Amino acid sequence: MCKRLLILFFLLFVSNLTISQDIKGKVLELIDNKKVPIIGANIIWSDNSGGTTSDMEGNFILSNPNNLKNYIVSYVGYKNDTLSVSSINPKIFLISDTELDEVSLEYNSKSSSVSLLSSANIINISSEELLKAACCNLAESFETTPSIDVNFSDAISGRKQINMLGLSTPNILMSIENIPSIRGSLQSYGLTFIPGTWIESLQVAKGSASVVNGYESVSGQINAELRKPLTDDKFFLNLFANLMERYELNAHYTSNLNNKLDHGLYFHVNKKDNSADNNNDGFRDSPTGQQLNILNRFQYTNLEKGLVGFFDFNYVFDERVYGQNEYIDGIIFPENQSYWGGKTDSEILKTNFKFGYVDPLITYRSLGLQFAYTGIDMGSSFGNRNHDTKQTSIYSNLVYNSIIGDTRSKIKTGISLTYDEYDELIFNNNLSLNNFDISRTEKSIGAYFEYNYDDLDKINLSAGLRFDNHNKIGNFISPRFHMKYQAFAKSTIKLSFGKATRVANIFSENQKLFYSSREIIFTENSTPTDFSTMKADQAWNYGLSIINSFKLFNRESQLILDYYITDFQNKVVTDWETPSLINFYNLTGKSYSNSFQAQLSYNLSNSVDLLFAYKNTVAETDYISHGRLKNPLTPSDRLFFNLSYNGTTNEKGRSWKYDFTFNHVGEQRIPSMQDNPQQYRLPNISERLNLINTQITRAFSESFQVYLGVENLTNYRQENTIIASDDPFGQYFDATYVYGPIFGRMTYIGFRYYIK
Amino acid sequence: MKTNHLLVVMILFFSISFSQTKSQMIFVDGVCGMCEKRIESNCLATKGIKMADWNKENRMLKVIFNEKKISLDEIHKKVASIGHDTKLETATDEAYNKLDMCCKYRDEEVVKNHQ
Repeated sequence: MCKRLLILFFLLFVSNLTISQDIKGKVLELIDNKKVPIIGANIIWSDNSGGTTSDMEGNFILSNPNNLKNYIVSYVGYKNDTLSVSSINPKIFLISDTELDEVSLEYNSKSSSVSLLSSANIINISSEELLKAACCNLAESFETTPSIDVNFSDAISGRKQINMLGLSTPNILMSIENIPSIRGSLQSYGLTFIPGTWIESLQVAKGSASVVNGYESVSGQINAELRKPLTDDKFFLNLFANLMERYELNAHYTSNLNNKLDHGLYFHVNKKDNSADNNNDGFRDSPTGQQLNILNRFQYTNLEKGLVGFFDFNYVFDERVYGQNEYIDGIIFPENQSYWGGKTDSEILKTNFKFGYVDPLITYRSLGLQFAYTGIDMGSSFGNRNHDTKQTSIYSNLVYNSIIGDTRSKIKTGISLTYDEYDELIFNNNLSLNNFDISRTEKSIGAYFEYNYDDLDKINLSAGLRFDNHNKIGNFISPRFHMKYQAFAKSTIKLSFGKATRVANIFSENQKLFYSSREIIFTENSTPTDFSTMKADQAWNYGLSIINSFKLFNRESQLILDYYITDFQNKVVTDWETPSLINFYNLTGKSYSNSFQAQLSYNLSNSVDLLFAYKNTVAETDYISHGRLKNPLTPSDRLFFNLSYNGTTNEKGRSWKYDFTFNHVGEQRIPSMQDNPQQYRLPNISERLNLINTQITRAFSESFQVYLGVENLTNYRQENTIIASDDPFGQYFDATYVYGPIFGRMTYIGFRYYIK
Repeated sequence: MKTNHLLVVMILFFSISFSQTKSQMIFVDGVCGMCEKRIESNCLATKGIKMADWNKENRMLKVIFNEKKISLDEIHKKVASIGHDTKLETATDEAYNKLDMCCKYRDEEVVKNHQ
């Protein structure tokens, strides 16, 4: 005790001694191990009571009349240094502030925008844009993006499918954090397994995509970035309910385990117990069922060593029951079931491991490794038909980034491999129909190289080439090219072309056709159970895009004109032009899709943005016995208008947001039903549709928001979504002719609660 | 055997290209996006400089260069020659006057307008 007092007394004594003296110091920095004085550095007392600056030699004299103990040395571009008065002749070395926190500039950035800098035509959709619609899952995230069409795949499953450049989902490479994810067996339900609130942002690449993510992108790539534990809110809760009694809950929880490791737990459940039959066709308008979806993420960040990593674990359990109102799931002898219906059970287990190394000093050099394992088990029944698929997938990609000469010339190179094992069966309770066993293993390994040149001014181009070996296709190459040229100060031209190859998963991709009494055949084969003669899809994509920014009535506006051509060299044609058949065969002749889009965005005021778009698509395919026809159920044109109001936030964090979307969907060709009896026919061309969605959001504070929305405000409903709904086990039954909304106006409400 | 030779050549190639590369942060005065473009593109066009990244908020230029081809002093001189002051080199009035109006970082009025 005595000793401590003595030390304390001594310290006080010493510090008292130093107070009376001025501090004569020097401020320096080390450049190449040479001491260089810092001229004009500020030296101030920690209580701001006074200070001085360093002279031409870095010297300073700081007088201390107030007996202060701490002073701060600062200079722009260097880390502040707080020092205690311990020496009267200090030499202070400032360290340049290489890791200065980024100063964020607040400006009115659009929630959906096209990059003017990159060579590829990429639309970035932020999480803010995703809040404009109900966005329960990834499929519904594109309602406010004119480049992508969202529509129902069939009249029974309630699923939505997306279209880009006139081609539907399997032609779009869907990746999650750059790992190709919605593929294979997930082509049927995969989009519904990514909850909307988990998505941080979406990147939509129109046309050919980069070689880095594989050979599969025919009409483009959509990448979803999920929320990251490091940057995400501490806690998030979202509840959603709609008038069809669908309930959803999303909860996110993130925690900082130590200064390098962050953890995030993302939880989603949805449930729907009742289903109405508003169109009185005897069938539920949408399925009942439930989903449990858990994502556990670890994020590792070590900036000093330049190491970053993710370890993700995702589990999904989902069940959907659909069919006639009286259908009961779980009857042990399905033969005894007198009502048409079915169930889809899905169980998915996913683990991702991602690791990146950036040389902390030489930041243009980096190495990345992705590894993903996915196990999928899906069982579906459709009346008397069953489709069971089990898939085990492994994906790995190693990418190295560097430069040639200087950073204007960048290179990316790497190797990737995919392994997919399918255990897939189609079998029928009714023995007169065909059964198929299409269990198979698909393996591919490939190497790629991409060169990017950016002159930092007008030109940015990237040229990529990949070489792959696939056990079903053999060797093939995929060239890809993108170029941006800034012709004038406000005009940018983008050009791209590329080749894509893809092995179709014919049954999973066309599962919607099973909601019918159609028989599956393979025309070309003598043995109809052999699907192995199906060749891989191959297509070239060419694109041109002109982006013009200008002022209209003194407000910012942007006009984008796009034209894309997708030309198939081969594809597995899914021919459902004959009402009783699903016929698969290799393309003989041509199949193409030409898509034109004009889009005008206009900033009406600081809080109101307008977006107009017009799209025209000509997509045609040569069919064996029907000749060249327009692709079925593909709208020839579409008009789009969106108004979004983003009110100012007051000091309590309160604000209003409002969003209005109008869609005019043009004529769609409906496959001919002229051989059907009179009462089981639809016209050959669909009606034009006018659809309106709207949503209003009230933020009560920084942390609490309530939103209310209406989908399909005009209450438009397609009549006869199910052909022969009165005779579902008969030969004419078909629920695949869906061109418009199945149920009418749908109101939803929800809230979001955040803890930052 | 052949692959072994290839490996040795690759390792040699990598170690050579790695060893001469140096990274430095230097203070370069400037104010705006045009300054950034000028500083970065002029640096990159200089032989020996591999990366140049100037941050207009803290006015630090991160430069990665090949020591065998260019020295840090020469980089300071290069930056000053296009009109931007560094800690070691002050740009001549002639070079400074060539800057666009919005880039005149010595003028307090201009700096204020950018804040």
